[in-house]
Amino acid sequence: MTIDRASNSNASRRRRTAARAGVGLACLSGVLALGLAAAAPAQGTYGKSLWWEAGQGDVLPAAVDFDTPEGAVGIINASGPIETKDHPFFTALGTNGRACVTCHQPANGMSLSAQTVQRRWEETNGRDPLFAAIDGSNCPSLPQELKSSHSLLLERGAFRVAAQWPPRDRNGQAIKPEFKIEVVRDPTGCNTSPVYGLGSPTPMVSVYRRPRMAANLKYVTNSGGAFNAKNLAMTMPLDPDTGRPVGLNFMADARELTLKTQAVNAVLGHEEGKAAPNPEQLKKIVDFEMQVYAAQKMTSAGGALQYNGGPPALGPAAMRDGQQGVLADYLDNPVFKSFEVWKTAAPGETAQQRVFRASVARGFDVFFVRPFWIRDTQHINTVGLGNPAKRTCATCHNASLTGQDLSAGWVDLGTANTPWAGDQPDLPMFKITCDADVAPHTFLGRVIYTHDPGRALVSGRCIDVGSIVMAQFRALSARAPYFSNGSAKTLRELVDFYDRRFNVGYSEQERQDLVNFLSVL
Amino acid sequence: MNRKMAAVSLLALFSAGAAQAAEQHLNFVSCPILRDTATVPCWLSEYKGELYYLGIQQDASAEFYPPFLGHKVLAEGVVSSEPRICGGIVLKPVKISNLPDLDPSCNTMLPAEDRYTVPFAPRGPGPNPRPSLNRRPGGAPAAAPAAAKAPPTKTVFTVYYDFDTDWANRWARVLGEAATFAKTSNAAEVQVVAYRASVKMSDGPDFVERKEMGERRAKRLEQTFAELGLPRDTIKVVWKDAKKADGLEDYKLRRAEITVVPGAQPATTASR
Ligand code: HEC
Ligand code: HEC
Repeated sequence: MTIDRASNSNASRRRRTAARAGVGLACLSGVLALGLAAAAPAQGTYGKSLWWEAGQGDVLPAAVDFDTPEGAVGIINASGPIETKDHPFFTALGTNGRACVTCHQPANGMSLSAQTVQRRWEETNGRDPLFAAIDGSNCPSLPQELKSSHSLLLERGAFRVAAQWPPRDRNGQAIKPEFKIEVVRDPTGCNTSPVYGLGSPTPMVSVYRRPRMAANLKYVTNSGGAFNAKNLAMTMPLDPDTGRPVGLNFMADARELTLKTQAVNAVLGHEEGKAAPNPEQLKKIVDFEMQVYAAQKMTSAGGALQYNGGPPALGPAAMRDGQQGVLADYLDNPVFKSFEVWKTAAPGETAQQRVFRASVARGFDVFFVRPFWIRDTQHINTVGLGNPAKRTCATCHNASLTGQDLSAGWVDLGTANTPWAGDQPDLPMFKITCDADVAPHTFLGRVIYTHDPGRALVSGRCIDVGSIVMAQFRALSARAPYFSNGSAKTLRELVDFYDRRFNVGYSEQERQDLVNFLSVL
Repeated sequence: MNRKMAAVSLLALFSAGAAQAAEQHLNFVSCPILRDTATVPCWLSEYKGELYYLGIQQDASAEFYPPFLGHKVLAEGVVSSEPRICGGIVLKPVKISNLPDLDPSCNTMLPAEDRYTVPFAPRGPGPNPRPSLNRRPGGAPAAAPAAAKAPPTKTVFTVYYDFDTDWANRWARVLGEAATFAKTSNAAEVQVVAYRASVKMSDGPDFVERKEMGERRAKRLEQTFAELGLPRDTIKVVWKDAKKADGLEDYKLRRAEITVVPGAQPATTASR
């Protein structure tokens, strides 16, 4: 059965590869015409398939584009072509047949789109290792052959993340949480399960989260200072290898200090490994992650995005060449540089490109200078801005080229907590009751209903409930849906969320411009 | 001691009688009020039918952190004779503390009006995650250059707190300096004395911090210094109630004093 499936999918991959060659080359020559020679031609060493299988063994070229629903996403390996055969990122290291690449697909900007998940289900009748019971289903205790048991992965692209409860501190000591957590609703059955639930012998809280981009990581892992800029009296933990403070800016709850610990836990968890990867494997994984860059490269409406004289922040080459750890602003050094060149017509542009590029340039302005009242967000309004603060999207998304928050980026935007997250019946709902003698959540008080306690699952602090680390937003068009729990199915839904959340009052034009702007990153 | 001296110099400054000078200080709890302007919003609060100006929205590196709608604010300020800003009498200097518990009745946002402008120079969006207080190169203490020549001497570092909070949020630089000095001076002991305090209100009984605030501040600092790499057995913490507030600069009572006692100096340090 398994073997059949694998060979089937290989065959279908080759068919798709063939079918795609024409499109790919056409797009390549279009890019070349604009004076750009970054992408290597497809010479049969890798499939231009949308799916990269664990152990596939092809070479991932130094520069390569993959088709996306909206155009193409570009991948750059700064250290040259990657021989993926036996490479620990691309090879199953555990027992369930998954590799890192299973959930961090080049064609999806090193993340994974729900569309790809659905296609994979159709192609393998749900038997791909992607759907492994451990976290590729709503709960391992459910009948795995049923599609409904994998609904959160299929519909939201979200995997189960099980956090041990109570959490441990930096030295492995159990933290005394500042709150009581109760399961109010358990649509997946996992939080009340006698095996996986809060009442089990190894108490766990199961939440459901999107894979985040395993690319452009020099930005994401940038070390801050000795203190947390969001709470200046809070020290940052140290990287055990370098002794330097870490940035606490990846994973939705920043639970991992370094890419190394992250990789160990990914192998033991996602890949159900019996042992941690060895030092050599770990080094290879981290080295790969630190040199791979991804960004949108082409959109069907706007044409090529990475070309001489084009907007300087676009395309994976800008990510490769950019400087990490730069706090951007909207006056001198905007987060995504400048889109000024797209405000006026350029020779050779089609009418459609002109309309689209002008819209993107306006969207850039909406993002940076269109103020609204940022209100009731823990770890933004509380860090010196006041509540509400008249600011822009770039206030929170302030790190140059990634749009993360440069400081340890967990913020309660309202994507996990009620009231703003709404009641999403397919997600678990927890009731958090904070102890009477601790600092309450500044804007929600001591009783909070949440789909994902976020950072509080790591810190045990009431003030952190529902705070989610913002992900970099590159290659967005290649990896819908958005937000950690996948609640925004499209960029339009994301923009509409902000409009509701902050009562912005965007015009139809502004919404479309913002969507177009985000789609080219 | 210091506080009294400060009060004395204030008196001199205003060349006024004691009674009048006391009136210059205003300590009250009230709802903050936001007034929009053409640039950034300004923050006001009403007390006894009069509107007071507290400050404007800037970023994390600013001295003034604006209050929160949804919470009452404790304002501790000095009534200044400057022209009104945003329609409010200017309190300057002013310390504000957001009270932790929610109060939905604090929800007033006033629209911008042409006649109200604020002194604001744009400095890009924030919250500036690298405010200067966190960015001092190397975190070297001010005392370091001298330490290279003369042996280091016992040094006191002081940090201050918002009402009822146990994070010395705005004082990371001082904490970093204390830790660095403790390391470079091979500290024999780092003594932390943390205080819980009260505020003498302009009207009504003293406003007293939660009972356990001193203890929390002390333990939080013990933890912080351990995380910054100081040996736990050199950190000695105690907590106390501060002396009675007199309504002048009561925010200075909400503090912790960190005394670093240098230990034996290796010969190399002295000759370096
Ligand atoms: C079963 C799917 C799956 C597999 C396999 C997997 N990951 Fe992930 N990865 C995720 C999910 C889900 C997250 C987000 C988790 C969270 O936010 O709590 C994530 C997050 C990450 C991040 C954080 C990126 C950021 O900016 O926050 C990195 C880096 C990463 N994975 C690397 C790896 C590596 C290396 C491996 C292989 C050793 C791997 N992953 C295997 C699903 C997977
Ligand atoms: C108060 C801070 C804040 C403001 C203001 C803000 N964001 Fe966000 N943004 C966040 C946080 C926090 C997340 C992560 C939430 C999550 O994943 O659940 C996020 C996530 C995102 C993402 C999704 C990234 C991904 O990969 O899923 C995009 C895109 C985005 N924001 C765009 C915007 C736009 C456009 C605006 C202006 C309308 C904006 N943001 C304003 C805090 C903010």
